[in-house]
Amino acid sequence: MRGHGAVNSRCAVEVGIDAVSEQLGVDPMTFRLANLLPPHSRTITGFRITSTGMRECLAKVREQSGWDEKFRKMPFGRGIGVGCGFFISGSGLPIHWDPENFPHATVHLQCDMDGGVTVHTGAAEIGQGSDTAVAQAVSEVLALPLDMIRVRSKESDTSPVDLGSYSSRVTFMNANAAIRAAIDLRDQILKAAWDLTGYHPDQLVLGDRRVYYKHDPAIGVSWLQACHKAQADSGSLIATGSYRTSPMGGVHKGAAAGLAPAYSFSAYVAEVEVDAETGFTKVIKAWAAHDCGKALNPLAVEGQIIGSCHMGMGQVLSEEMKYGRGGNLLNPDLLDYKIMSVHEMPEVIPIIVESNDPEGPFGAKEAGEGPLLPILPAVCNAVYDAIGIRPSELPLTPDRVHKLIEKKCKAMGIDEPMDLPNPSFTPSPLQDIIAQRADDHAQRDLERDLLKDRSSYVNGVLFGFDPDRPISEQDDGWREAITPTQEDLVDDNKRAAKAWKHVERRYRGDA
Amino acid sequence: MRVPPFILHTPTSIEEAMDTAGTLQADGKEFDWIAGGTDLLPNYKWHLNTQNDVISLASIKEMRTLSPTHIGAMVKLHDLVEGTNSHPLLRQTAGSIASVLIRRQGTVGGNICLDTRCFWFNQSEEWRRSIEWCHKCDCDTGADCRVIPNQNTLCVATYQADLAPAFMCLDASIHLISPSGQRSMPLNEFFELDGMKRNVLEEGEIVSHLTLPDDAADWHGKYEKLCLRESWDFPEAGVAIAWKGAGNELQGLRIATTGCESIPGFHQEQAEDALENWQGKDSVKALGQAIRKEVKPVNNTYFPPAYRRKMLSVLVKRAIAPLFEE
Repeated sequence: MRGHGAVNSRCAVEVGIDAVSEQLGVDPMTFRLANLLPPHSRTITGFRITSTGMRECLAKVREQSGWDEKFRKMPFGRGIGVGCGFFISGSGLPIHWDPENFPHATVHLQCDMDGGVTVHTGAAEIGQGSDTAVAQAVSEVLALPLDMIRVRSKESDTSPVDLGSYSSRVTFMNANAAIRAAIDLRDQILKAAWDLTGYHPDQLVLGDRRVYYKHDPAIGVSWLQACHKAQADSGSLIATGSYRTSPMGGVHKGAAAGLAPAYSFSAYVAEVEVDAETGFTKVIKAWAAHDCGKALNPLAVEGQIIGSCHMGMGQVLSEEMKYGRGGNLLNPDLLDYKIMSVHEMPEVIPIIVESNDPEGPFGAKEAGEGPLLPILPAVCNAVYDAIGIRPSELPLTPDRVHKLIEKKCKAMGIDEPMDLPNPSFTPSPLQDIIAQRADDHAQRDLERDLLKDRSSYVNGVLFGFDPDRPISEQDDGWREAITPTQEDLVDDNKRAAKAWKHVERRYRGDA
Repeated sequence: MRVPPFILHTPTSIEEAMDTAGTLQADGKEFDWIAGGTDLLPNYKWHLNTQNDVISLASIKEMRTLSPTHIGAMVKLHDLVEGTNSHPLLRQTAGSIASVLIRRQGTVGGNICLDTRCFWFNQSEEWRRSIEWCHKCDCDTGADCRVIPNQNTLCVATYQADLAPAFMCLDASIHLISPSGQRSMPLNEFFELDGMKRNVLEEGEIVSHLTLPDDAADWHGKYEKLCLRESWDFPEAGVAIAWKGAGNELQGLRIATTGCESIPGFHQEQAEDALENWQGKDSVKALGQAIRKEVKPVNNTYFPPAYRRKMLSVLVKRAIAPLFEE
């Protein structure tokens, strides 16, 4: 299980989108492409969308899976489905303490006599590769090889506080803090090199364990010389950096949920085989495109995508807690709590999409929980494409699917499940209109991404509003509202984070 | 969840094993037999009906004989799969059991004598204490059955071994040895309809080997089972069918099921009925329905009983499919 809460509701929404596009007679892929948020926009719930690679994700899985040749064209029992998802890159509000006063992540750097840099961080390495990410961030800024970076991350007595490994936040927040600390350290080194070489730091470059004049690399000092000079000047060479999110979010109740400095996006296509007689679903292949901003460690990102598919497959097909009459968990062991084995795991084609987020470390966003979301709806929608059954309950265990098949057979007066009609697709006139809109939006997104178009995004085009005129001119009921306003920001009670200021009252005794 | 300590006896011949069993019996001690251990040891870890003495059959070479018509009880499942001269139905069935690791450890005799399984029984000791135990392992409390409360004294735990229906379809005989002598019987008479007693084995008695009749090679068959994952899982329902002859000129038909009740079912009546009015493919549906009516699973495994029952007719259809391909 990953991305608790978000996953199941996302699945419901995506299955609903598929059902809507079915009723409208529109290809679900085109339908999604025509309804994407543009980059640099704000949702009605106050989420600030910076970069988004959703369009590219959809385009890539559409092309690589051969969507246009397969959708509703495969024989009965075989189907293809698409699902999308987005996820926070770290919770915008920390779960532990007052976000106004403390940073989300802090990193301390310490440069020793040997020129090596020790990174002290509280980020919990739980196997996801956070140690590598923080070391990469420091080595990138200081232009040092990775073997000169030492990470001390598992020592709660020496490490600075960190919120922990949750809400897919570690790379985004911890690497950002590490970059700031490394810039601080770099400036101290450059100042020392200035004294030694006589060139202003603006004209100095770090690289190859040296600090040198950018127009003539022969002029310069070694990294070690600069380190020793800096240590001689200040007594010690240490630096610290921290990261906190900027104030964000609306002022309505529940505004704090789902806030994040950046969002990752993903789109998957799954191809399945459904046995209509028994209700068994087998995923044959999955194409998984994930927009992680910038892949700092592409191997780890691909691993996360494939691992997410495995976890998601269990969630959509088999993993379930069964309870007895008295509330006893009947399957508390790994034999009866059915995690997919290697036999059930399909071939997954991981596709990394890079949208270069302006606030992420070197443009990176998360690749932890986000990649799990789309596999569930992709499988559910593929099941519909295969046998025309739209499930409304997870997981899709054979007995559940079989029950739905039986119900449909009964409703249609069919004896054998294999005689059920194969779902077909006839595009309605709306298809061309939607496809045109998708193309227009692609152009709009490109211009917004290149910062040629800086107009505020109007989130009401589908309801008949003209995107080129302010919506307040078109409808009296609408009002332009920028949240949070300046007054909102001043008023503590209106901040999204006010829930954390709530003082819990506890009573003793009977009172 | 540790295996409780026990004394392990390792006889090297059947006589020695019988002596050990006889001595323990004379001392009034209860004991268990262990073959591959893939069933017994997990149950011991969960403290299910553990004994102080365990007699291992692993060192008895004479029980490992494998020929087309003679299958020793200590033959590893993997050897049965790999054995080029074992019956194709047995090879296919054994090859579908659990996973390779378990097949390399588990034995034919152990699979035949597999303990019955139930959601309310195969749990840790703490879990079972929380429901105040159950009929099959009541820890001397006289606890009721948790699946069907207030019923008679029968245990309804499910028999989930794969090999028994395949052997039944090949008309196998089972041979037992105890300190007081030997006896043999057809395999379908070996089982007793009770999840606790399970079979006719008396205290101190073991399965020495199974034999197939000489005409077994004339019979063809297939085993189909229902389980969520391709490996590890116990069958939630299984159907083995064997036939003699081909297509519409069928000379013999045998059907057996597993994974549905406390014992595997041998459906002689249904098979004979089908054979009498055999009309090729058209008879398959009626046969599937007849088997489905005959078997009554209860709600104590992963899939709901109604689904398992319905799937029996699908499994029958798939198991008999090769008959029409020839």
